Amino acid sequence: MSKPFLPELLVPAGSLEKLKVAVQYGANAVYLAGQQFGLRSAAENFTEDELREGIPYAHQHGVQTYVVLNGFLHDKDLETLPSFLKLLEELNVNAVIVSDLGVIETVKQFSTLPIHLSTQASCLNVESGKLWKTMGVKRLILGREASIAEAGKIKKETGLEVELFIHGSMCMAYSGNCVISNFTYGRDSNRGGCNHSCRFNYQVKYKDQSHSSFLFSSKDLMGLPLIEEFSKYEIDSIKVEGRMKSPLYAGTIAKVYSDALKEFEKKGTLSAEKIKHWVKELQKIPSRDFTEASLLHKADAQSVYTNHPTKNKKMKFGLAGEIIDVIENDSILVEVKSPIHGTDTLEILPFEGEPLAFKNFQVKDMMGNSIDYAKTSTVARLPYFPQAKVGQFIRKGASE
Amino acid sequence: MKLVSYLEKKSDLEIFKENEIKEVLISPLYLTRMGKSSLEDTHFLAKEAKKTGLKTVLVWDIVMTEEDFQEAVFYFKKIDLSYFDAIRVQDPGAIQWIQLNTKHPIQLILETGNRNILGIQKWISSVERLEKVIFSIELSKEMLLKTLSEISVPVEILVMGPILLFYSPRALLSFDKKSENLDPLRWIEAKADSEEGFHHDFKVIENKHGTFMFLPRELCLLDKIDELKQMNIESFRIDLRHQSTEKFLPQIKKLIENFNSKDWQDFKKNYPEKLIRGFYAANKSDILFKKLKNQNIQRVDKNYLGEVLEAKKGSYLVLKIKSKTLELKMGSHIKFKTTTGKEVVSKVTQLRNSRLELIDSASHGAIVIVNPVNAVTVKSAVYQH
Repeated sequence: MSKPFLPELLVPAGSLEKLKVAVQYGANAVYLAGQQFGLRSAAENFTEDELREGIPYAHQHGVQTYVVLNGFLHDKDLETLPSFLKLLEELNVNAVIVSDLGVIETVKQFSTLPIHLSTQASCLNVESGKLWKTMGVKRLILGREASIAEAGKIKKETGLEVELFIHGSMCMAYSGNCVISNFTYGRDSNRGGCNHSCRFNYQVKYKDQSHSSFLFSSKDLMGLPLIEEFSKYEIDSIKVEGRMKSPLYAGTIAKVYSDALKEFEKKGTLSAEKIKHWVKELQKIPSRDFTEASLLHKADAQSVYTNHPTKNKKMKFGLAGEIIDVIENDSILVEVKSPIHGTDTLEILPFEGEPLAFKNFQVKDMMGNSIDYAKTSTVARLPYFPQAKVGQFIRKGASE
Repeated sequence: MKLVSYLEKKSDLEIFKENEIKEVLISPLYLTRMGKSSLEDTHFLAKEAKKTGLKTVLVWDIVMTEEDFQEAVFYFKKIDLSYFDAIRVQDPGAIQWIQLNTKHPIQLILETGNRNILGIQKWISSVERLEKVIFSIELSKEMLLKTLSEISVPVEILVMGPILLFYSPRALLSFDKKSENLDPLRWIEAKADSEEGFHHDFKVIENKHGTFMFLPRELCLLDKIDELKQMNIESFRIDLRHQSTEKFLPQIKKLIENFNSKDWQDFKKNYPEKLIRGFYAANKSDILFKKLKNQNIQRVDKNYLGEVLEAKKGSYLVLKIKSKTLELKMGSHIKFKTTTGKEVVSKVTQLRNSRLELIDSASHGAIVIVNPVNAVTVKSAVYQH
């Protein structure tokens, strides 16, 4: 059996903490932003010091780093870009993600950094790819409207690398073609200020009827069962959306997709049973339900999320905490994210393999005193497990 | 300066002629976002417009997946281009294809993004047979002036018409109405009121190409027309596709020719939509960004040591040392910056490791316990002082 083509797993790193989580849980590449130039102004993003720590950290673990510069920048934004590019080049960033031709020109003028065309440019067809190639682009991050088969054709006919989203929230509009925030809230959605008006409830008035609807809100993309298709069409990179999401999200998605890719590499196929298991794992983190959107066929009525955005956000498996220290044969220290009781069923989420469940344990505070429960924003001592490692998450079973 | 508008029916030609429209945009159903014209109508309108002495422009402005692109090309090849003087495109795939497969002049739509001179210049130098560029309505007066001074290609801007907010390929109104079959000739309209925001009456249209949402107010720069005329802008576009051309075009033409306050007030009173100038005066759509996150918890200082993980009042603080170069030392002074921006300086009088042993110093990655400090909370940043 010949070895199957394996796409790169590209995971969001909205902060230094999330970058480390993504790396530890199996990402092959991460994408991140500095404090300017990206599309997520509300995300923590990276200061210069954090870039200086995070990028070498990723590289030391064999993980590629892509920095987003994908806002539709104005002239004044471009003034400060050259010095930032110098920093990225000094740090050996593997590529920058760009949507605007002015930014591409600036990158080419002030650096030799490879350029990935952002999904924000809505490149969706072969001819478009060919034009962007003449502009100096090395990889196309295709719009979410492209199918896997179309992506394969674009790769073949342009000779460029292609990247396609496989998981996460979706814009209902073509990327870059929504300015609701700009005109209704004075916040430029294409420079990081999107206020997610598409998630609102609307009273829709037709000639003959009127009703309340979330018609502009999309379900979340989930393409895990299609990994074989991504491989078949030799999609270079499969991307997860979500720089604004929690560290648990970054860790869980990275782990599940990484486990699936490793299994696929080993066996050349994925069993229905395994897929079911991984999808169940993905369902443990909040989502707006899942859709394959346009990965196989054009997105249909089932791709619309008809519930209130917060309705399904209840944690099915909440984050109890993160392991911050392991004291051999003694205890593990946990930074508590939600209250931990000794009667809770907890699961340590390992970097690879199956979760380790435990219950009926003693909870102690940092000083080693027994306590009824550990409150949020404290540090707790839990029993020692040899498998536990710093950076792993501890999940708490269904709280619903 | 010349006036440009959309031609959807023959009866508009006479009105266009009387009101100095010089260039008409013809929108085939299969190529144009708001297109309604069949192939036959496309040819007929273009032929009639040419007879009237108008310049005819074929509009191909949809965004296309590869499958859509192949369908669009199939359709495009059926069009008799001899009826047209130029082709207007937006999708880079369409730009590329038109350059290679026609000899027609190209009008390039730069309305999505393209808000810096460098990018606009690059488009201009990259597209062959470029006749005109169409600027984004998000360019302020200042940005317009600066950009116009640095490019040599004719420019068009929208001076009157609806503001497109959202363009999705999905059939959202049909989905919403649970319609089972999608007729390629469908044209569904609705209005939408935000139940969570304060905006009402967004116009929503669905057709073959997807779903489009418009701002309840229309863009109108007519009261700035005299200063716009001074800017060397070649074309002003008037989009009355949602209104009565017969009723409003004469009023608009009059205001463009000779702006006066009385006609302006009358126009505003009669026009069925509220009017705005958009970002013409200034574009400060990034000014709120700093408020989107807490600037106090950002790590910005070279003396950064780490972060407070727990603050047990009167008992202890738990810190994580994050600096790779600095150490926390017993007896040293450290500064805490809280999430509200408050700064507190304190001396380290007690220092223990996670095994609760007394230590003299701690370095990167260590979890340590130090003496409590009033007013210091979880997530406070810790600096050497």
